Amino acid sequence: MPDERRRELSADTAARIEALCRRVAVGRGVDEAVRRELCGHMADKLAAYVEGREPVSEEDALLLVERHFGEPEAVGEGMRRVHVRAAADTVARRLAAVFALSCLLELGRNLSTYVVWRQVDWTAAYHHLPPMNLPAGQWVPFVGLAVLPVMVVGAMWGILAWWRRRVRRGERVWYADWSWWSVAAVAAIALVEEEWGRTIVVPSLEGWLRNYSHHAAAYAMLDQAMALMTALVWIWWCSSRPVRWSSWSVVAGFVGALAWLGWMAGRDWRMPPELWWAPEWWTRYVEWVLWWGGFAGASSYAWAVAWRTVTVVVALLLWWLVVVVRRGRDAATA
Amino acid sequence: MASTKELMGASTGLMVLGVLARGGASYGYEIVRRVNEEASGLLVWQEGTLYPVLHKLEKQGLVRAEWRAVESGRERKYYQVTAKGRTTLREEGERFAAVSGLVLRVIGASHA
Repeated sequence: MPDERRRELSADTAARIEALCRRVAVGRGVDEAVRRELCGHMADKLAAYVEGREPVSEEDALLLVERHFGEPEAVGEGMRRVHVRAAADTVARRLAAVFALSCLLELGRNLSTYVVWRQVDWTAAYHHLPPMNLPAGQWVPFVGLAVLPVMVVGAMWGILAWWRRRVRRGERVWYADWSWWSVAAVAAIALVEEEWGRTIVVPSLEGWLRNYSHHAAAYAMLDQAMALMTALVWIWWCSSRPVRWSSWSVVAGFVGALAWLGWMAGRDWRMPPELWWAPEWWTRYVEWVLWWGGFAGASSYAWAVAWRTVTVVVALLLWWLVVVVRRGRDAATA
Repeated sequence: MASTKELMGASTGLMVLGVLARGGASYGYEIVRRVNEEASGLLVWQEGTLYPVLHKLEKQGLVRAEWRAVESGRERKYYQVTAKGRTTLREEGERFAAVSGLVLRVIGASHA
């Protein structure tokens, strides 16, 4: 048994042990006790090396401790299988955080789109010319409209990567410490604000989309591509191994929920089956996607918020069923 | 063929219960040290993997845990076998002995 009266660890060593233990994140309410216990283990092991018959330097001993302890992520995985509820809480918090971030960035994009759109509105081409005859320089606002979604996904990925680096360094991120009500309130406020942002943009685009829907095809496709990329970024954020079938199920679920949402919201635009393969359908489809995509697609503001909420709830339920419940079942049978 | 680690996997919880039942209340580091000592090199645990096992035993009510202060001023989480844990250890131990006896008999027969 190690000597209880041993000297204190250096501040640097203590900090490294602390950071290593924090990587075993299980969930709110459990993390602190787990961290204390694991740090105690490492301190004991370290003392055994430092004060043993074959003394080693504290730095070398720390390396040995880390090596013998095993990968904190693997230990964390084992802990999460035992503390299923706390782990589920963490997953839900991460989803709420990424949802709030998505909404806020989307709000930024909507407002930027409005600013860019005012430029489009002023171009002579919008009123008089077919797009191929746009004068030099007047393509810029259109390019701006296309670039904005890509920038949003890029920003989202950057922020999530930053959060993930902080978690891996053992630092706490805001959504792990805030109460559930606070996290939910942030997500709800972000959702409402984002929907409010759409009320500015979509009506201003509406006339253009109705009269020039063939011009809007590329923009509509970008919107859909962005939904897919957003889903992929979400999955990357929620799972460290995105190749697992469960992760792909969540991607499929998220996209499915979006499609279902569009189908429900756009039921007035639904084409008769005999026109499904007619060229006209595709033009109408582009209109319908854009129509649904904003405030005007739903019959009221409340509906727009409700449908978006349903999408997120469906995605959360799928995540819960596929990943969390399965983990719990595995843990129970292990 | 299964590695030593795989063969031992199913009995990890049982070994922990055994160590605690024989040696009395103990904490993670000491439990690992005792198991490794008795294993004499046959099994070397990745020490961190002990803790999910301990927490699972605690959730199942087979061990009880409490924080105790030690001289250095720190606290340690000590684990102790419960009555339910002792019963489980006895029953599972008998079952394990029966299975390993069977395996040894079969292996012995094939060598004869």
